[in-house]
Amino acid sequence: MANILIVEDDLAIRELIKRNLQMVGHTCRMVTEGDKVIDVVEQEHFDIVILDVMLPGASGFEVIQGLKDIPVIFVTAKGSLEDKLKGLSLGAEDYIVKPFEILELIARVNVVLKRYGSSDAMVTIGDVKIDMKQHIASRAGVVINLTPQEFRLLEVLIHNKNLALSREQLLNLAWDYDYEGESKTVDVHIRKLRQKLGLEEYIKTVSKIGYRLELR
Amino acid sequence: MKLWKKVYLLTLIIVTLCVNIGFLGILYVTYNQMLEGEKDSCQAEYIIMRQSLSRDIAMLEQSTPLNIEFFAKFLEVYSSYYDEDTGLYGYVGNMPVGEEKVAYKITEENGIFIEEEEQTVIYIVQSLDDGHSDYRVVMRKSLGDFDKIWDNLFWLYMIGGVVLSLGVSVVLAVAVRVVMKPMDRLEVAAKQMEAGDWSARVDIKGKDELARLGKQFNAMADSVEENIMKLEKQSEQKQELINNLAHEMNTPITSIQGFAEYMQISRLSEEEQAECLSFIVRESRRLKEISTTLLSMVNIENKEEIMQEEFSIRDLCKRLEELYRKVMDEEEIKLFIECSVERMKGNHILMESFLRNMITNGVRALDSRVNKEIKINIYEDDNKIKLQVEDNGCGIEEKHLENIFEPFYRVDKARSREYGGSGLGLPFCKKIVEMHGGNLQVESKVNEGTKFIATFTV
Repeated sequence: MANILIVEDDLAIRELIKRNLQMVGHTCRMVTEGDKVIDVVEQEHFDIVILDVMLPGASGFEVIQGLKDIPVIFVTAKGSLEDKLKGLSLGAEDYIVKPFEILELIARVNVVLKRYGSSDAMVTIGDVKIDMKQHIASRAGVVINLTPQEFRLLEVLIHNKNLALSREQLLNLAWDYDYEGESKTVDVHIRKLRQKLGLEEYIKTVSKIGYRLELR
Repeated sequence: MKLWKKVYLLTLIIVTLCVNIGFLGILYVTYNQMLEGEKDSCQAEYIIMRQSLSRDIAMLEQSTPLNIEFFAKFLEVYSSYYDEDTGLYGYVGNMPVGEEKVAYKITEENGIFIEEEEQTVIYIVQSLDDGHSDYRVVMRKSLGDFDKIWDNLFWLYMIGGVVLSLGVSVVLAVAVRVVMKPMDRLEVAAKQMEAGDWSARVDIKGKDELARLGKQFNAMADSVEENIMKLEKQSEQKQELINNLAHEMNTPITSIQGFAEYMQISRLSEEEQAECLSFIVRESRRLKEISTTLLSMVNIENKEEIMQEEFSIRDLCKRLEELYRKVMDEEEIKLFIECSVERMKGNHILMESFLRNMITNGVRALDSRVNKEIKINIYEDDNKIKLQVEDNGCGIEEKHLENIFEPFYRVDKARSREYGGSGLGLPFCKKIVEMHGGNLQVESKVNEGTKFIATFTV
């Protein structure tokens, strides 16, 4: 759960990013002009800034230079190699080109948060407590044995909570690149997680799509 | 074969042939004339000799008849009058008198014969008259000197001919080459243009055909360069438009897809669902606006002319007033349309698009104002029809004015994206006016308002 600043002038895109990030548990603030960013950042703490490049007022490339300590992810339509290199060399953590998959944005945000230690250390789902750093899950105080793969799947569900993920997406996010198996393994692991942690009420099957961890 | 070689060889052959034929002709004629001269002088000699001999024989026959002995004696005496080149021989019947003989064939008949032996030789054969027809005298003259002269002349001709020919060859070659040099320059310039250097030109001085060709080439090159530049520029502009378009369409598409997926994978309250759907609808409309405007622009781009006819602009205005009444009330905008022109010539569909686009722009400019007004004024001025659309909205800064007719140019990105808009409205309006043969101008003051003036030639 992080505090995220979204700097984007297009209303629809702004709303889209905000809603998705809020859904997976972050809080969001929004700014529509480049020259307003510095003021806002001084008044409030942010764990990460999502920054467009083409903004009224100052451009994203100018704005980032005033954001020394806060991690920045560029989200922009300017996708040339030149622009990417410029953005990254100005110190951005990541550079995403529009159009993008929202799940990808969420995943990259999580990577940056982890890197900076701003991601949650402990997550609670019902009576299950999960130590995200140590990879230990306990239910009503009792430590439950989870295989590394099961834990990885749990992690992905937590990071994308309240969003339904297809089996293919879960495979991409939680399994290794060269996994050649069928998506049946996702079903098997979901069943295991539900059983071991008693999370049947939280890990829901969403018909026609996949699975969703529901946690408000 | 190269042109200059062709010209050169042709000229050389003709000149050489003519000169040689001429020379040979002259030599031939002169030779025959000189030979004739020799013949004549020889003949004259013979006649004199014959006359003298006849007289002498007549005198002899006063006392004794002529016989071979006497004949031989006479010939001996007469022979001594002549130099070594000339000789006299006698024949009685076909029998030679004396020791020396002459070709048998010659002594068969009378006449003048020219034979080629070691030298050229003239033979004159005639009988003595006065009843001595058996007796024949042959005068033989060898033309040694004559031959020598002609041998020299022949060699002179040969050597002179060769030298002259060589000389002419060289001089002609150089001359032709020099004259033809401009052709090389033309070729070089043409090659440069082929390789893509549109600035290639030739410099050929003078007034002859090559100089004229050179001038014409330069004129052609100018035209080609101009057209290529124009085409390149057009192509660049089109490419830029396409790039901008792809970019512009990107954003609404991202939003539509994003919201639709979000709705798919999330559990949302009805209120949230409604919000998401309204975004989808809004962005879809924006996409549609871009698409249809672009299509219209492309359509009139492709036409050389648009269908024009007389239509009632006044009726169009009335219709628009009705159409926009509700919207204007909702937005609290006062719309004034004054049309003092009854009919005009043009494309009524495009003119409607024009006015609608203008009104939409005005509405957007007025957004956060009070006392909102849009005034449309159509009137005749100095044989032209002027169409004015004025609003008292936010205005446009001076520095943006020259760019607002560019596709997708945004004065203030945040606002114009907020309120939708394809970025193609003004370029489209400009195109419409231009297709009607007019022009579109704009005047604006920040925070006071903007005025668009379209001028149509009647």
